[in-house]
Amino acid sequence: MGKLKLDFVTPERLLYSKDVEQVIVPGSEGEFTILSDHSPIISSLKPGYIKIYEDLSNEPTIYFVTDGFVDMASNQLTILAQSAIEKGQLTAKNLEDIINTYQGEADATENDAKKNKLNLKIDTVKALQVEA
Amino acid sequence: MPNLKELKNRQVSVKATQKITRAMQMVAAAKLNKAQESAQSARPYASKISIVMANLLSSMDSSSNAPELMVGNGKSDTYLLVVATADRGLCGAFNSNIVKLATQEINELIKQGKQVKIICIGKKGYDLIRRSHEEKIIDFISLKEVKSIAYSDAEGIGNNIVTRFEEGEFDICKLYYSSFKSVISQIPHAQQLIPLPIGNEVDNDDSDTNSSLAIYDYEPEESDVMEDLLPLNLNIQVFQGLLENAASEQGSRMSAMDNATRNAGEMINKLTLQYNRTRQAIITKELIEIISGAEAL
Repeated sequence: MGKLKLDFVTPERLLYSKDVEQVIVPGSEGEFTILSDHSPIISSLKPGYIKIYEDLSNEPTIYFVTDGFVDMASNQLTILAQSAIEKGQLTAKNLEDIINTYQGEADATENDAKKNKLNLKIDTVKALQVEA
Repeated sequence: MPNLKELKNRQVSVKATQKITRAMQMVAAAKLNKAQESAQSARPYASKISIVMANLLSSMDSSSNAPELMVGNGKSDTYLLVVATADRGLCGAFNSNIVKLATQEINELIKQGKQVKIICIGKKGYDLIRRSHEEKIIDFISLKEVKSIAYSDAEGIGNNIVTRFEEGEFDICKLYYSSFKSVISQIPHAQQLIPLPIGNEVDNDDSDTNSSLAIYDYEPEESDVMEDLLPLNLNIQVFQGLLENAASEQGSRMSAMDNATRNAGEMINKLTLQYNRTRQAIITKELIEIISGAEAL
């Protein structure tokens, strides 16, 4: 199968830049898989795991991301994540911190739509917490 | 003729100063390395997001319903100038260059009858601007406690700006910072944040971008994506600006301290020469006194 070029960046650094076979991303409307020659798409992300399959026969590299976007165009996938932690280094405290930041933001904002969005994120992270 | 003790004292004090400036230079060099590294590692994200923005802009169907963050609110009465400087001095003309550029713009805008509001980042710029435009400063942010600038710092500032924009406090926002060209060259720079300057991202001559003028699928809706992406883009611009600023500050300090160390060295040489001459003159004088005393016997 063909490969696609993946650039995975956070504001602090370039995390991952390789040709990969398949990437599973937690889109805000639901998880989806991107293979090579996927049609152009821009999607926002919800908190969750990005699974990168460099090779389908091998185990994926998994990162936890909080917020961000993916942009797929002409076989070039760009993941812009606000923050990313490799799954092995993710601790319960990380998740706790993330929930607290969102909660703080949700309490501070007057905007209902924003509040709903943040609450949704909190729920997602809480679900992940249970899973872990 | 200055006496010997006085000369010696001056020599000692200049040597002490030289030690300090040399230490500061070395500290600045080490910090510069770090700052440059983080500025460089932030660059991929910034360039990626500008590519994504360019893609988005080119595939937008119509600009009539475009969000205000991107196209502005149609007015240009009130300007918000975000002036980013350092929290510490002793870095050459770094702070004053940025403030000079900003002050020029402030005066220009006032002449045109516009309203000006200022947000200061960094204590030094705040002190300088406060002298002439205190009533225009609406906020002051100090990053003194921050060792190395993290994205969250920029996020806070960015959100602050966006909130103020949504409340209609200003129409146009510009960021002032110093862009880092090299260790000896930092150029004060103004960048428009709101509305988004259209066009300059596209000259990012990446061959990938030209071929990707395809129609995008949006998930969720285009407007929702835009709503998230635009503030994010703004935050990133602020972040990039702060990082460049940090690198420039260290670079500027390094060359300023290098100069100071060299000047101190020159001064020490001069003082040593003067000291030795004076000492010799005193010895000669004493000898003459002894000899003429002996002759008198």
